[in-house]
Amino acid sequence: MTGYPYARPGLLRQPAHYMYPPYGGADFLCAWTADRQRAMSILENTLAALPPHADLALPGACLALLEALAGPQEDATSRILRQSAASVSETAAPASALPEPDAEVTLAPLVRGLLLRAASGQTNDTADALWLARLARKFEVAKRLFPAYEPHPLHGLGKPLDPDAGNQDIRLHALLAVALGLCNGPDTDLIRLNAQLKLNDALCSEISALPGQAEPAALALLSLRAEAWRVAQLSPEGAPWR
Amino acid sequence: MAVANVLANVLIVAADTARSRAYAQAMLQAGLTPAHALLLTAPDADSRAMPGSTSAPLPPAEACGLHFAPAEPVAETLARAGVPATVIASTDMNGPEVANALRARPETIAIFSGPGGVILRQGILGLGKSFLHAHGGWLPDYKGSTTNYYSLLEQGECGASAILMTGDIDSGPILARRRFPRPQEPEGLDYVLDPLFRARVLLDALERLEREGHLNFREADNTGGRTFYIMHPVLRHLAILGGGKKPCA
Repeated sequence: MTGYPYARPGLLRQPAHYMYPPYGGADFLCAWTADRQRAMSILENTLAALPPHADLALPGACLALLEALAGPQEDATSRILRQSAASVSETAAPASALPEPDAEVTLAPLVRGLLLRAASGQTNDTADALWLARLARKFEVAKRLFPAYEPHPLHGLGKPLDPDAGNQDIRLHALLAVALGLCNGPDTDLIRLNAQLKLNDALCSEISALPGQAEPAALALLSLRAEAWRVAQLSPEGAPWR
Repeated sequence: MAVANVLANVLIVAADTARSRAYAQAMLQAGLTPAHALLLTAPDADSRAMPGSTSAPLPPAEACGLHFAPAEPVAETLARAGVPATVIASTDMNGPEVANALRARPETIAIFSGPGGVILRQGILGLGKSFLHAHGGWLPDYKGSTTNYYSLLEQGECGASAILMTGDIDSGPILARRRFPRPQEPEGLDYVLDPLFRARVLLDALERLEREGHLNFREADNTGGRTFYIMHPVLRHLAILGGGKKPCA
């Protein structure tokens, strides 16, 4: 096997299924590392050229979560994200509350709320963790993300409100990927990491579109950095792909 | 090889997958064979395209006290064992062909060994038979898909559990279960070792069925646990290459 085949263009249209993949040894993981580094370089180069901006405030707030895992991030992109977070007005809207049991679930505000609470240290651990688990499950089962869902008494998210609106909004993938990567502290939950890896494949498959969208691009970069840190934590010492 | 003892009230529903091949060979070696087999076959396509089957040449293997020849088709093993078989020209475990074939059989216990990744629906589960399934993981802790890879990463070991199937994934009563140490060659999990682990606990359940005459025994409670999803290839490779969770500092 050569190269990393799971981030081919078009995963939003045709999600991967990952059943019985061939074994490629250490070379496969080296190829994955190289593919991810290419994607991160593209994102870093684009973001480093931007001024601090309100669109980068959420990624800037999430930067602290990444640094709690992976240590200080001192590159040009991180400086811009940090400045963007600091420039947001104190009167910015508070994080969205979690959905009520019988209420429709709108994905973007839900995940943004989870991230903002985690970034501000105001997490409702049990409830937030439950919703993250529900979101990971929903993505794993459906392999797609929709803007809004009917409520579901057990799983939180039921059927999508508009099935025709599905899986074309890369922002949703970026939001969920970074939430799964950063809202869990240093202890890696394999169920969350598994979903994050698949979401990051989708983000990398759309790498050509990301530089035109500041917030998703920044969130994708943070998710990829968090993923790299977690995979390194799981890797044997001296592994060639680290 | 033990003298065959036919389990008169048991049939096997099998597609020609690595798992089915392991089950059939294990039952023949243990001398515990089903009374009948329903063989699911793809009407036109090559069976090697079926989930859980491979065209790669795999050498014989030994594990769990069992010998496994992955290249031997399940039909050949069943023929050697003298198990009569009905061929079903469909691989849809939830389809009308399988449902009709099951209704026509008198056996009340069906060993489930269909194509990989299939979830049985109520149309089949509601036929009045008990469906015996060997899950590739230690229950209740590891429910869902590719669970032996997750347990390798978390605990450095594998497992298998024989259960009766219900409408909830991997949540039926546990009839038998075993833990297995980390394999020396974990890259053989999918098509050799995981099938053998499952075959071993299937035999445990069938041996107890033979002794006790029913499936009312319970090895453990199956509440709780976590449900896992198809493992991403990166994590799969990490599990094979010796990666895993370390204690959080």
